[in-house]
Amino acid sequence: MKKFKDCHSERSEKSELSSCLKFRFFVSLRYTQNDNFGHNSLLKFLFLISIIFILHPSSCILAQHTRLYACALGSDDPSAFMGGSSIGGGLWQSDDTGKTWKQLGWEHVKCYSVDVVNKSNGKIIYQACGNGVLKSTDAGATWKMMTDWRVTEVMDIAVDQKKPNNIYIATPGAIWKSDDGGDNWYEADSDMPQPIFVSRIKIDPSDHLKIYAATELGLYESKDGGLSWNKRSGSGESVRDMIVTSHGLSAWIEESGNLHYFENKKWNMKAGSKNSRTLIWYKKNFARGSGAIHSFAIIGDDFFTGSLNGGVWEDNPSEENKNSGEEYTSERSGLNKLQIWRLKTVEIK
Amino acid sequence: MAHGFHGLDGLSQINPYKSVLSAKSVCYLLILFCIPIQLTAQSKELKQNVLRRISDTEYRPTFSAIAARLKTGTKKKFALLQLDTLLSKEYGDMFWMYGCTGLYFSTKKNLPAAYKKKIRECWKKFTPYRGDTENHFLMYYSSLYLMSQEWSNLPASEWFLGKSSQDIHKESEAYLNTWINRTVKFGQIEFDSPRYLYYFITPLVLLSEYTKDPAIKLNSKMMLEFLLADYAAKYLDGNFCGAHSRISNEQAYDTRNSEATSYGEYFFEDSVEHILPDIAFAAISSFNVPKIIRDIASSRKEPYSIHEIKRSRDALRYSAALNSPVYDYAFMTKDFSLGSIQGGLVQPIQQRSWSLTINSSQKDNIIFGLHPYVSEKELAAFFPEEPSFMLEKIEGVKNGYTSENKWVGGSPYEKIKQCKNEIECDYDIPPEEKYQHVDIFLPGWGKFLQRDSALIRIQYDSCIVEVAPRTKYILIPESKNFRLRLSLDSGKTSYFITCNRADEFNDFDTSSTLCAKDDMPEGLRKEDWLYYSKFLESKLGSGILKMKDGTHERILDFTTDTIR
Repeated sequence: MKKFKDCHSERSEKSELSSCLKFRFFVSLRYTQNDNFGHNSLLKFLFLISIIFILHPSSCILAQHTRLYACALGSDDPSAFMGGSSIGGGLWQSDDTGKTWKQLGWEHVKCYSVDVVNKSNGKIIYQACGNGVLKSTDAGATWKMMTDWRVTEVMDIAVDQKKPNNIYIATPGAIWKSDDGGDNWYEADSDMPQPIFVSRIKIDPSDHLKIYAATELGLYESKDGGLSWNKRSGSGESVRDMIVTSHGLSAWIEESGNLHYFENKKWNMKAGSKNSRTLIWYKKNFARGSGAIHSFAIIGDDFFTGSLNGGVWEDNPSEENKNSGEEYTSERSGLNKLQIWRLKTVEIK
Repeated sequence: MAHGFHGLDGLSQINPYKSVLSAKSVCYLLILFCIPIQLTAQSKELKQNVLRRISDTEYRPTFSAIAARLKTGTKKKFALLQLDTLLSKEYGDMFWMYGCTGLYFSTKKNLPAAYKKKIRECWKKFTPYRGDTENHFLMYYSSLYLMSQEWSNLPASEWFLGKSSQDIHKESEAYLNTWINRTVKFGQIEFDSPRYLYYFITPLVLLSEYTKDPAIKLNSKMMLEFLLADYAAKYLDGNFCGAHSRISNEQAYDTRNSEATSYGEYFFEDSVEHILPDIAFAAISSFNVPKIIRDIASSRKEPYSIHEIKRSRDALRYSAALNSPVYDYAFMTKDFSLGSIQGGLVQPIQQRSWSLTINSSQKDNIIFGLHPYVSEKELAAFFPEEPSFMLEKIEGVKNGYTSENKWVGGSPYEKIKQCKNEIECDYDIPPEEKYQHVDIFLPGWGKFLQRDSALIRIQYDSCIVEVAPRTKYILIPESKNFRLRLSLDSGKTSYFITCNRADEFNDFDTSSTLCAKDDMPEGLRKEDWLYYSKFLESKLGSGILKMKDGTHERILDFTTDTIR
């Protein structure tokens, strides 16, 4: 089983799908060469059948992969931008690292963000939309609008993976929380100035009560699941985006383009400009993208960005620049006619 | 975002699924029957004329025009073909929703069963966008309210929202009650819009006509009267006078080209000159405007001032308040109207802070001015998208926004004071702002009587307009009109404008200043009045609007749901 564990541990380094296929091939060779099943032809037959089953493309016994979601605000038609239009918007899903895409659920709705209940294996999905919060419990086949007229323009959503019925949303006026899987909502930002534009909300993977909110007045932290909030020291101005990993808050970027990041056991700051105020992550180095590059996602070695100018792009670094993290070229990976606001990856078994 | 105003709602929790003959409902029915008889019916002939005109006009597929054709039996086959188009486009938004709702209810008796089924399917499959403004939400929730009344017992699986009919109905009712409550107490957000008033009136006509709930029926009628009375007070022979929350480029020089004019002519003048298809829904309905509102729209013998409070659009960023009060003032005469708000940014992109309308048969009859403010901050204040990207893409949506020559838009650097027929606008523009000038737009058909560095005097029909720029200016011919461009002096400029009837004209003193106090009677403050004029009175927060015309009065009391 060692190799099986490797398959898991290498997920962040390599494409999981290809790793697992390699593993299957390894298993098949091993058992073919060292026939421990002796002369029992029935067992041999069953073994061969199981190998065929495992290797078959439709097999899902050991198949694991990273699903890529793309949230689109609308088409790249100039008239579909902002305000009263959302033509072409919605949630898109790719199970083959961006090669092919299918739309899930509502068409023509502004989709700002998505989160998935990990334990549900991709079945329970929440979309943060212009119209409110949409929920699916059948992997996107059917959807229900979970919020009412009071909640609109939901900029981000975060599911508490330890208590998946606890959901937080960021909106241009407030943070809302649901304790019952989205059936009921209440404002969970009593310590913050009102109204407050909240662009992102994230839960610390190592402490599910620790919540981070990127707001127009700075970065706010809650240590008690949204009951109380404190402004983080050093965050004096509007925060646009942040990265939270299993090590906690790793980086945030401000309206001015200033980048704050944790490196060498301390917080550092790189001054930026308004033209480079979107936070991206490149080869474990923080970087800033243009306004058009608005989000990123990593699957193994593959680095994806979502562009407001249209499409999901896949990074193809040249050999000489592969490790520098500085210059790279990208190729479209689909959805090229859509304004992509957010990308997200989810592990699917 | 959360629509704030906690504690103001006082939502009516009437359950439409209770017996229609509950005690409360009986009360509302009695109230409806007892509404004072002040109605001036839009005549049967007018209504028939409207439907005939719309039926005979070539429109791109439009629900209201199709309804007119089905109602009159004109080009019925063609109408149904157009309906097929509208029901198969697989895209719906709130504009689609209210049109579809209006068609369904107004032609219910004439509509083939197959089409009713198709419409039902649409409301299961389509996933309409709700929009992001006040008019969008009204269209969305009034449509859902009526459709969930019609299909009242369907499970969640039969609706695009994934909610049951009961849940949709309850939510829609909550929104409608909240919107009415806030508007009548604290003012409209998309106020005085020559374009968007149309999209408030039509859903309210549909609600007032087709809802079964007596309370919503009464409140919708009252809201229709409320908005039409507001419009009537600034109506001048088809012109929508004063400042506007939103106006389009096409209407910049002449509001008689606007959507609102269609309703103005229909309700106030029995005219169909500028007819648009949604008037069909009004013509099919039984709603008639009270005589007092028609009188308000036409009584212009004596000049009068109007003080109103409206609200700014929901501020998403950079504001301590969701909505701020907008002080709206207009001076009306039979020859001209001068109107303004206090300045600043209260609506994105399409705001008009002041205008002087000449009551003339000439086209292009409005004088107006602005600082062409262009900023991602403006867009980010009102829209949630990426600020820098919005500025880059805005031209695709709102053509002309980034232009130094634009005709519409507000500026945070503008301060406006007005007293009756005089207005003073001050600008203090930081050097980092893109455009360092201020424009005043003058219709080209006026006769220049004087033009020097201190004063421009122009005659427009019976009116003499005087503009006193306080810094250097140039006069730029622009198509048939003129652009008067003021340059800044140490970042500042200002101008003073008056308008008088030619026969009442006195020599103008270029150093004159405005009346020191707001044009309010002694002891009254404009901050306390949602409406204060000879025609309309409502104390801020009261929810009671009194309409007056001579000895006649009509009171809309939203606190007791009564009309007196």
